[in-house]
Amino acid sequence: MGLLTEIDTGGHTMPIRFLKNASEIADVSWETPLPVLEASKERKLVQADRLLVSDIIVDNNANRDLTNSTAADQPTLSNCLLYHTLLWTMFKIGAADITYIIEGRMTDFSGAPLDASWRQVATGTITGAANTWHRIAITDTNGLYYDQYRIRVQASSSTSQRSVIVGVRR
Amino acid sequence: MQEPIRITRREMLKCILAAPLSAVLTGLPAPRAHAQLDEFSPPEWEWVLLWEGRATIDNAWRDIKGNNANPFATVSRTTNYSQLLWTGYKMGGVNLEYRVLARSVDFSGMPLASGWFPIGQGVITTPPQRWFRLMINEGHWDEYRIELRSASPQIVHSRLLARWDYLPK
Repeated sequence: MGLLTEIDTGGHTMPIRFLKNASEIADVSWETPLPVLEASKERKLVQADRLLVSDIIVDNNANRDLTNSTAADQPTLSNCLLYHTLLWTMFKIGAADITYIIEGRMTDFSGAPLDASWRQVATGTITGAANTWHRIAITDTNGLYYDQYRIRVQASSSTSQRSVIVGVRR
Repeated sequence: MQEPIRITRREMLKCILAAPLSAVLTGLPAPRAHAQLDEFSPPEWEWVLLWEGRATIDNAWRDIKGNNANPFATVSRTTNYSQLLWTGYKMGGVNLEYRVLARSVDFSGMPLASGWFPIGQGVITTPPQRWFRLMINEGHWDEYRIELRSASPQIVHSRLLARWDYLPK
């Protein structure tokens, strides 16, 4: 009698078999052990992805985004449907305040925007001395989950800033 | 010839987890097994050990590893973690000042700029040879530095864990 392949059911023995994959039932053996220990590992861990790193000079142009683009229809970030939250870390090199506007939109199956323009997600002002770190958590009660974002920044006088955006899945 | 038993992995898990216990308790495995399974829920996160050790802390700002060079991170590659849990053991009787710093890095792993973003600070006032614990809730930074300062030198043991969440099923 094999060590793992049979159990005593009180008067007879029967092999233990299990659904190995969608179409195959296998006997438990040393070669095909029960995969129960894998149960918790099948779950996926949350990944936080670095989506963008940029170093730009912010000026009085209200259409400038974090990629330095001033084309109003150009997204700063695409393929973001997985992300519940965006974490924006900024290092402000200049002293001028920086106003930001974060906009989102959805795309169709081909990746084309559903329509022109954007829906505003958040807005605010980053204040503080030169050479300071800042962090903005961009989120919503039920998560963001937009396909594309445009993150516009503006300052009354030209000032440099560096940004990192991390997307967090939930 | 006997019919093969068709059993899924989930069903097998039910039997292995619940049946032995229920058999001991009641002698009726089936109903108890189902009751047990309903209460079974997989973990929502796991703890990852980032660092464990001790350092002598003096009047200079040193991190929990004893490093007093401010540009060096205590732990790196921490973007995935939603929380850090720092448990320590303080040997001396003098108060221990701490500050938690964080920063982001670019795609090559270089810090975005010099300096750090301050997450929190405080004073640990426990008597000598006592445990203390601090939960750092501001997660998903790329690097952290946990600095300590003590008016007179003392040894501080530390264990730093990170919480890595599972995606909901």
